[in-house]
Order: sequence, then structure tokens, then C-alpha cells
Amino acid sequence: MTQWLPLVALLSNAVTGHESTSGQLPVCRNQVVAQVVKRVGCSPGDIKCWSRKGGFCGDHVEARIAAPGHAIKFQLASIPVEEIQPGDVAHFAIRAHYAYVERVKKDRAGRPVAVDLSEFNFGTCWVDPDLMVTDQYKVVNRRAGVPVGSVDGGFLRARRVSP
Amino acid sequence: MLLAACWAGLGLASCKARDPEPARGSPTPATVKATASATNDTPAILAMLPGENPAQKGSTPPGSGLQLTSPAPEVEFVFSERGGGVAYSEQKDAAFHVVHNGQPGKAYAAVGPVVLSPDGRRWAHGALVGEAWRMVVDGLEGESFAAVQAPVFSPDGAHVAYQALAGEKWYLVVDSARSAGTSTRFLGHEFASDSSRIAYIVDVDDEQWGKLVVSDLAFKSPKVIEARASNLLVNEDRSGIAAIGLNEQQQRVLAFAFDRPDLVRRGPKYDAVFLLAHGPDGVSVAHTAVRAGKHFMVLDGAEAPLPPGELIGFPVVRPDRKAVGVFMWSGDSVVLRQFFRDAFSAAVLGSEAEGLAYAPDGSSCAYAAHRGESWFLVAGGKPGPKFDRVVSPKYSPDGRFVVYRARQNGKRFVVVADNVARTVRQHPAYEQVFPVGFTPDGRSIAYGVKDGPRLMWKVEAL
Repeated sequence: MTQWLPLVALLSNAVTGHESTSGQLPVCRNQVVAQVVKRVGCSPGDIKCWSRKGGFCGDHVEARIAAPGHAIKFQLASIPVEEIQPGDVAHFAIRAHYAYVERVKKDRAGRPVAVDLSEFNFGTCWVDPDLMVTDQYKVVNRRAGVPVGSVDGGFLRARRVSP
Repeated sequence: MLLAACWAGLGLASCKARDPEPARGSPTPATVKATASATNDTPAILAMLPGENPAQKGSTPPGSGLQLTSPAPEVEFVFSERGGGVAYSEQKDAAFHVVHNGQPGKAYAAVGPVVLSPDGRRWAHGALVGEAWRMVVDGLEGESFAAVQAPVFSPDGAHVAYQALAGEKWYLVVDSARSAGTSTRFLGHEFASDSSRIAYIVDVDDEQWGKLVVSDLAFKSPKVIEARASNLLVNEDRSGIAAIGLNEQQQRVLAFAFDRPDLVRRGPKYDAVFLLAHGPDGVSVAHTAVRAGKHFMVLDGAEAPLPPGELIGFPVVRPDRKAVGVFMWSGDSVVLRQFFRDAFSAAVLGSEAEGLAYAPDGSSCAYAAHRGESWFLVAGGKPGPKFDRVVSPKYSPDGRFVVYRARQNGKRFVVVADNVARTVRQHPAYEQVFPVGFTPDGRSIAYGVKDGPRLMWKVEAL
């Protein structure tokens, strides 16, 4: 039985992209920090600013699922791997990260084996480790051919629940 | 039956101390020295908001950035701890400006979080000026940096400290004085109660360890207290510091008075130390720790075995310094555990509990509990009336009352209860109600409110 969850509630636990891997990424060199601060216009520690600028992983998923700012409610629900299609959401549980499924690659039997993803904030170092801002904040990263088995949190599908 | 069992358990969870010995130390809750002109039940209007049109105000609130339903933007108001000021930032077109006590400041492309001096008369925030960030204090722009963050006023309001990035180094800046730079970063900075010294952790590595330093405000004689430290924590009156030290893969708690950094108390060694918390006396320190796979609750170096279960929140030291309380998950329920003297474990109601507070004499405790759709205060083991939300219970200095904030049907208000959770007085409802403190005489409470366009500081009799 599918457990339906509101999109906001589901993603808000891991909106930045790297909560559970905070100990695994290094802190960026200060030169990189300065570059990202200059590019985005937010200073470290300013959660309101980083949230407003919309560069976390959840922001990208939101933007791809629905035009942001529109009064549309969505819910996300888990789907079996066999049903993955473009427009679904890949959930990386260990990394607490979400990415948007752009394409699905299937084997000869028609079973999904890999996905092409797009995502924000999939960085190599922390600009602000407390706020989980990486050097790739608001930068679209694309990964092709990601094995479906590596998406440890499974796949989710958004459904519109109200106009 | 289950309900009855829960209530029986709740009765046990009353934090009763069997020790009749009077409490030591000065276990008084935070007090506010009101600097606003408010008197009892006569609020001081600190600012009026022009044109109450939420759609034109402020910026998206902090949070997920996933507001698919596009809620109205909210403004975050900052009240000073003594009530003399309120500030907020608002957006007009593409520019931001900070409003202090109703007076709008200069427009900037971006502004950082606003802080106020304790008396509310001074304000500071980062601002983007051209392509550089400057700390703006009382409307005056400081030096240019690549980034600025974490401004804080000294307790006397005379000094501002913040971190600033220039080139490839972060600096700690106090007024116009700069510390030596670090090519890594700082981890917090805290003023002493007399505003003459500042403590900070510098040269922080990726594992969050750095040098713990206490310095004068001009950085002429910084003293390294510990080569590898983390979790800098000052007590409520800013007279004492605690931190976790690391040496040869062993961690231990360090504690010292701000004015005697040469006399450092060092606790037992552990494999890891977590959840550091000062007691209300400002001297005692509680924390959890792990050694050889065994988990402990630790109070001033004394150990008690920590049973399996996830801790909810930080440990709370009983004012007599003889016990520590903490909420824990036990199976699928929340229990209140007290360690050391009068140790017990008792179920609390519902699925959540938070905000544990001990009475000044340590004889009972209070907390907010959640069951079903409702929240309620539990004090002295007894439940209070149900509301949509209850937060932040605090005992009055004499221990006779418990004050908390509540929300019901969209209205927010302060409730004064007796020490068994019976409502003594429900204060007027407002659109927003900010954290509550006691006046020094303990007879009144003081807090900020938003009442339509009015931002007010209220001082009300208990």
C-alpha cells in the first residue's frame, strides 16, 4: 500500500542535499567560499537569504515538478522501480538528497536499469556546513546513467492534489 | 487502561526531589531588566508597521524553499532581550532595508540577519554594498569584506563582534580590531559578562576542531586554552565557558570561568562527548558520553549509565546540581528520565514532550506535552488545559508559577499557571508573541508582541 506524503513535508527533511553526509564533505577553501558568496549574494549563516535564493536540491525538484510560486499542492508517493519515468524524483536516503529524473534507461526486457538526473547543491565541499550550502548551490548538476540500485531511498512520484 | 497507565506514569514524572536540603547556587531563570518605558499592563509601542499588507512585506521565511502553495511572505521581528528595541528587514522592489524601532535604514541589494544590543538601542547587520559585504552598525557602514557573518553585541552593548572574510582568510572583528586571520574558519565567538573579553574557536578543521582562545577585545594578548576544542558554550550569565577538548583521540569536557582561563577544570576522558549543557548555576556541566561502547550521562564528572534510547533535546541540570533530567525515546514512547539523585524513568503523555524546566528549588518540573491534536503543560506531574500548541515553560523565580506561551485557534498568548498546571491567568491574545522573561523582582513578565501594525513590549504582572 502506498503511503502518500505531502511533497513539502517529505522533502523538507532533506532540502539542502547533504544532511547526513555533513561529515564526509570537506569545508571549501575560503577562496571558493568567497566566490559562491559573490555569485549568490548571500553571506554564510544567513538562512533566510540562502532559502530565498532557492539553490537547494529540493528547490530544483520543486521547480521541475511545478512552476514555483503557483498555488498547487503536490504529494509524493513511493513507486516501484519498474514504473520509473521521467519527471519522478530520485531519493538518496543516506545522502538525504533528492534529484529530478530526466530520462530512464531500460534493459532489453524493458526494466529500468539507470536514470539520468538533474539536481542542485550536489557539491564537492561546504560553503556553509551548518546550513548545508555547497559549492554547487544553485548550480544544475547532471548525472547520466546512475544505476537505479544506487538510489538507496527509491523513487517518488508527484501527484497534484488540488488546483 | 492504557490512558490510565499513562497518567499514572505521568504522576511519577513529577521530578520530585526527596532530598530536603536546600538548593545550592543561584538557580534563577533569566530575568529582563526592562529598558523600555512599559509599565505593568501598559505596553511600550516600539514601532508601527506601515500598511499592513503581507503580500508586500519581507522575504520568504527560512525553511525548506519548497512552498509549493506559495504562502504569504513573513517578516521576522527581532526584539532585544531587555525590550528597548525591535528590528526587522523588509524588501521593497529589489532592495532590502532594516527597520529599527520604526526607522527605516538605507536600502541595500542584500542584508544579513539583524541583531540588537541587549537594551535595544543599537543594531547591526551585514549588507551588500556594491560587490562587497560590510557590517552596518547603527546605520554606519564598516570595512569592506568578501563576506561577513554572525554579528553579536557585547552584554553592555558597547561592542560588536563579527566574522569577516578577506582574501583567503577569515578574521574575527571586534569594533575596528581584527584578530589574526585563519585560512580555515572560526567556530563561534562569545563575549564575557563584563564585555572585556571574547572567547572563540579558530583554525577549525573539517572535523569541527580548532583552537579555543580567550582574548581581550583588541586581540593584543590572545590565550590558547586548548589546542583542539569544539562546542564552545557559555553559561547564561556569561561568566563560565564549557567546551569539548580532544587529545590523542580522547575527548573530555573543559570548563572554566571567563575571568580565570588559567584554571581549567577537565572532566574524565571518553571516546566521544555529546550534548553539553550548563546547569542553571552556571558552574555545573552535564553531557552524554561514550567510552568503550558504554553510554553515560555525566554530571560534573560523575557518571550514570545511559539506557538504550534516543535522547530528545539536551540534558537539564536540576538546580540543586544533584540530578539531570532528559526526555528519551523508549520503544515507541517518550519517557522522562532523571539520573543521579532521585533517579527515575516515567512515561510522559502522547507522542512528544519538550521544554523540560525544573522549579528553582528542584522539587518539581514542568514541560510541554503533546497528545492527539493537543498540547498542554505538565507541571508537578499534573496536566494543564489543552491548546493547539504550548511552548517554553518557565518557572517564576519564586517557583510558584509556570509561565508558557500557547496558541489556540490562531491566537497567541501567554499563560501563567500555578505549579500544578492550573491556569492562574491567561494574558491577552496577539498576532505574535515572542519569548517571555521575568523582571528582576520576579513579579512581572516581559515580552514582545505584534498586535496588528503595532510592535510592542509588554510588562505584565504575574
